[in-house]
Amino acid sequence: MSTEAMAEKQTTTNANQPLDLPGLCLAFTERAPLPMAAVEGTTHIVRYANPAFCALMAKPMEQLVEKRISDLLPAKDQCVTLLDRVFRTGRPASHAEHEPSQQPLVLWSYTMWPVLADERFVGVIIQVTETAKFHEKTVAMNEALMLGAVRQHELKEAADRLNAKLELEITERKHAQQALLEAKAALADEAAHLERLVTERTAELTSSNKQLEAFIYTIAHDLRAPLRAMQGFSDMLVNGEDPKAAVDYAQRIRTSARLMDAMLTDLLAFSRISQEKLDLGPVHFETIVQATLASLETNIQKANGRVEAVGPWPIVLAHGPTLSQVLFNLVSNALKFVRPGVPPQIRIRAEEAPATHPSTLPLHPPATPPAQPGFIRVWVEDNGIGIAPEHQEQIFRLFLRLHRDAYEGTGVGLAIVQKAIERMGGRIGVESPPGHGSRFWFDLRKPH
Amino acid sequence: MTDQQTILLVDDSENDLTLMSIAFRRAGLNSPLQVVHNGEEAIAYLAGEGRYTDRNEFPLPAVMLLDLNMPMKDGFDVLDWLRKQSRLKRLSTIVLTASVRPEDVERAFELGAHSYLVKPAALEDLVAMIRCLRDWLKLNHFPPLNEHVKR
Repeated sequence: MSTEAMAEKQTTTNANQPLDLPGLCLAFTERAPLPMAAVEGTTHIVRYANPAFCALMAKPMEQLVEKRISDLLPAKDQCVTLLDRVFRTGRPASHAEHEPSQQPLVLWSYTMWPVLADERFVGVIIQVTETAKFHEKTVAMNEALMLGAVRQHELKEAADRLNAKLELEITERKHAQQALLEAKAALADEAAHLERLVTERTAELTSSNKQLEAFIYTIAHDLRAPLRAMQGFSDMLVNGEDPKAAVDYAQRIRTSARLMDAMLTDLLAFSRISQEKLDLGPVHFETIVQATLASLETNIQKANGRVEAVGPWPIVLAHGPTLSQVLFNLVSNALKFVRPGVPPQIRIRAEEAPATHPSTLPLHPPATPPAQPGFIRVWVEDNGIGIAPEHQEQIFRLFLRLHRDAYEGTGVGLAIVQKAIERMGGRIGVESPPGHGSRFWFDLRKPH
Repeated sequence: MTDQQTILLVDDSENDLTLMSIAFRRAGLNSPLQVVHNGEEAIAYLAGEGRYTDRNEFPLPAVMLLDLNMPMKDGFDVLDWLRKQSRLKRLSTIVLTASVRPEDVERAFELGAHSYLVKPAALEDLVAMIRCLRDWLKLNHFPPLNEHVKR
């Protein structure tokens, strides 16, 4: 009997208790709200079911007793296996399983423990609980919550990722915008630079065009003067007017023709020096001085002049023949432009520029700028008629002659000198203290 | 009356001056002629300075024939100086130059020149030009040159 078995079990646990423990246990079991049943033997025949079990199964006791438990339980696949084990091993076990084909699922949980009789297992008591849908719902809710949490996490991660991406994009866009702005600015700069270049080049071109125009104009204008004389005086000769003056007219024609020839010759020399490619190299200035003075020897003698060439002589970066021409023209002028009867005295000397400029500039800078470092300054000084300050700039102009009547010439010599020095990368100038002749100077670079 | 008008000729070319005097003679222009050779001399003459202080010997001209391209001070310098001389504003200034450059024409008039003539290459053309000048001198009414005379 299952009740007896239970009583026996209780007895073995509390052998010395005077209480009617089996009776109490039975009473507890009868009143317990948990469904319980006791099964016997290996076939698990139900011998006892408490009222809660009968209620769970919705059957009266008579319909439950003597039946196999496996025929009663709705979820039993593993339950029976477990019953076998508890019965065999005597170890209690718990188990829960779903009732098949119930939607939503119903979970049955079982707690089993063995019943001992005469030191052997005779049966098993099963306590059954139908967790019905509650657990499922809880699980579902938990799952949902968990899922939600996971989702939330995922969502947050995704949002973070998106944000990061967006931020990156914004940064990139900002960079792109910045780059665009920079490119725009650079483009504007480039455009402005180009515009400036074009303006400069145009100005240069215009300037050189103007120079060329002025040059051609000067040539045409100045060559026309002797032509006009030739034409006018030959008219007089042809008409036979004023026969007394015929020789004078003829002479004027000849002089004009000669002048024109000289002008054309000098003009060609000037043009050559302006256009010719000048290969600059180290030139011993002494050899230039010697050669130039040698070629001017007759002129010096004729003028009763004295030329003093003061060494030591530097080596300069120049074009030999061009430098000779410069010196020739300057010395020729010095021989020519003297008051009548005064023997020309000429001094040629060279000096090196100071290594550095003086740190303090003079309050009133002299008209003649100091030679720049790395340059040699050459002086050609004379005792001639000098040049008034207001004419010192003019004298280098092509065909310009300050003293047309008193001194012969074409007005090209100094224009050639200036052009030659410019083309050799130098500077030229003149100073002329009143009554002390002229002091022409030019600067040429020292070779490295 | 015309014969009393002194003409000041400013030119640095001895040949041109000779040709001018020939042309004056041929054209029958008998006005007294004074000659200076550059701008500096012209200014000295007009200002009555230096060797030109004697107005009996170097009378103020009614007309000046002024070359432009000259050494020292050129024709433009003379025009520029002349503008600032209120005493000399009655002087008729005729530029007579070889220059045909438009800039020079413009600049000369800007500086107050009254006429701009280009030196002809042929003598007969120069004579024809001086003939015109002669006729113009005859027709033109000149004011008294000296303001003291006017008062």
